[in-house]
Amino acid sequence: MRIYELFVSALRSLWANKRRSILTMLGIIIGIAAVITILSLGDGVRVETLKSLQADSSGRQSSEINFNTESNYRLGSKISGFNDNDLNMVQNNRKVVKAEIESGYEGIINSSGIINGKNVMGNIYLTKKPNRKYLIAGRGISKNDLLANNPVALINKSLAKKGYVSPKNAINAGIELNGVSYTIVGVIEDEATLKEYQIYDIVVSKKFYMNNGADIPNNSMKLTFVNGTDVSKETKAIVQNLNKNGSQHSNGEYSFIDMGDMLKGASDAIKSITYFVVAIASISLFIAGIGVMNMMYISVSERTQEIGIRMAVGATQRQILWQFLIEAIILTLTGGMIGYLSGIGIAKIISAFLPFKAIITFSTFLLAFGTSTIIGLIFGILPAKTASNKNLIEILR
Amino acid sequence: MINLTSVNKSYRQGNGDYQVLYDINLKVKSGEFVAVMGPSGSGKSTLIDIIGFLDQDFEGSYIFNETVVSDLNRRDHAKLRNRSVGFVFQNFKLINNQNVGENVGLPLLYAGVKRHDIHVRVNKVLDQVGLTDSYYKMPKNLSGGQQQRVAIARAIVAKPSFLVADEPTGALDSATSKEIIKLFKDLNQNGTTIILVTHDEKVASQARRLVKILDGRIQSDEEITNEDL
Ligand SMILES: Nc1ncnc2c1ncn2[C@@H]1O[C@H](COP(=O)(O)OP(=O)(O)O)[C@@H](O)[C@H]1O
Ligand SMILES: [Mg+2]
Repeated sequence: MRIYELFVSALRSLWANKRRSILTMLGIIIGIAAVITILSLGDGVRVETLKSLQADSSGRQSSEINFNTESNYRLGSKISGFNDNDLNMVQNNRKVVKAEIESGYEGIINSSGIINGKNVMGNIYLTKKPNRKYLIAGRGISKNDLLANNPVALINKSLAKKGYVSPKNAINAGIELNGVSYTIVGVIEDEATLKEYQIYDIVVSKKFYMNNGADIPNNSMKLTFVNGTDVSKETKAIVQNLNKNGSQHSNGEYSFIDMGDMLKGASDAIKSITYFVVAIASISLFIAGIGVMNMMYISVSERTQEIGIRMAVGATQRQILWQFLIEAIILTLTGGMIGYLSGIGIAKIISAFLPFKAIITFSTFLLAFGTSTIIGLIFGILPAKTASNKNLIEILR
Repeated sequence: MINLTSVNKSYRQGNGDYQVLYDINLKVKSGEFVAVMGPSGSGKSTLIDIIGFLDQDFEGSYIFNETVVSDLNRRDHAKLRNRSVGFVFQNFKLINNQNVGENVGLPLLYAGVKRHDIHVRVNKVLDQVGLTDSYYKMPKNLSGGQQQRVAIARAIVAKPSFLVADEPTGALDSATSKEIIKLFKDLNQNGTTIILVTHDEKVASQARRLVKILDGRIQSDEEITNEDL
């Protein structure tokens, strides 16, 4: 008998029992859909994490060590956590490509100032580059200002109004920050932000600000490593060393945010959710498999006469076995493919509400295909054996 | 063609054996039309199942042409059944959710014949049994006589060496029985070997040789010289 004919007759007999076939498939559909959904979402999370990692380091791997004193957290602390000795010590590490001491705080500090005799508080954005963002009046800080060390500042609309009633009046007027006078060259919007969440009110040149008596403690060190370094391990070692031998180890604590740790935690969480869902889906698939077996047993006993007739016209045991096995496999495979498509659909719908996209890989297709075929094989073989081992004479009597 | 020597058959029942056939010796030559008669329970069906390759579980020797049937494995036994015999049953034994054509083509399907060739051959055989244009009809929409014609078509579709029929008219009224017997006679006249089991004297009288069985033994085996022919 041709294999094609086996498929045709299997499909026909499944079609003859449409409702029962569909109900039997339901368990497979749900199980496979659940697995595909969670795997697609899991893949999405993983790829998103990798992407954000690489965007930050532009291919290179880096980390940041911070120094915190116990008393004064931000401004006012006159202690610098890092000095040149610390820098040399860190640079002796072979894995470190580059080490830079920074003020930290990502360029924004909180400071008091005096504008037209009035005391004000504000966040100062210390810029290293020309800046004219959010400008509504006057001009921005130019390259020339930075090079010539001009004492110029941009202030926001509220400060301008407070000091000089209107933004226009504030242009070319003065503001005193840290005891140093700056010329207001431009006015910016009130909602000026850096990196979308740090609000600032004033912009001045970082170099000028620091050269003129402002004390910005150097409490941050940025490290760049040789490609392929275990960044969190190396940084941890450096931090331990600093806490023992660093210039300020008796006045505070050196620490770092372990991105690797955080990412590992996140991916561990996703992994355990995946295992959990896969475990539940496996149970569902197992129960579905039992359902398939049950249906096949019913089918075999209902079609005893048919089996007898087929044997009487010369069907071999193997042909009967394959007929029922193929029926079981078609049943589970159809269920598996419906489940696969539903899983993709569900994952896409869910990821529309999440900050990442579900990712459908060919391997999940193979997984759905393979799993449902194997379920059909495992749970179909016993009923098919029963069918093919039937005693012809007893059936036909 | 068919050569049974000292065939014994018993069924296992509980802890003892229950013997149904005793020392059967039977030869059938190609082209014969043999009727097997005997009371109910005498072992006619048991004998004909052995002859028709449905039952391999017996003692003694069965040689079909040159093949020792009792030595075949299950697979080869099934193949022999597929190629060499056509079986007609009392209750037709058609697959009810398949149409007439598919039922008739079943032996060819298992013989591995191409679908198109099956179709052509099936239509030809349906013509032969008087069921022209019935390929797509469902068995349940046919009368008993027509269903038995379908079964006969299925039995001869693969051009077997011989045809075996176990009370083929047992479920039919006498008029329909006559038609079916006529069909068998026609087939025999065209060279088909037929072995037919029946209760019915009238049916048996149409054959050319009569084997009578009683309590599992062959009682008589003789030519029919029938004047009413
Ligand atoms: N599978 C079986 N198991 C046990 N006994 C059987 C079986 N098949 C037939 N018999 C017995 O064998 C005897 C002959 O049966 P059978 O060949 O069907 O007779 P017939 O066809 O002449 O009426 C009967 O007594 C019957 O009960
Ligand atoms: Mg009988």
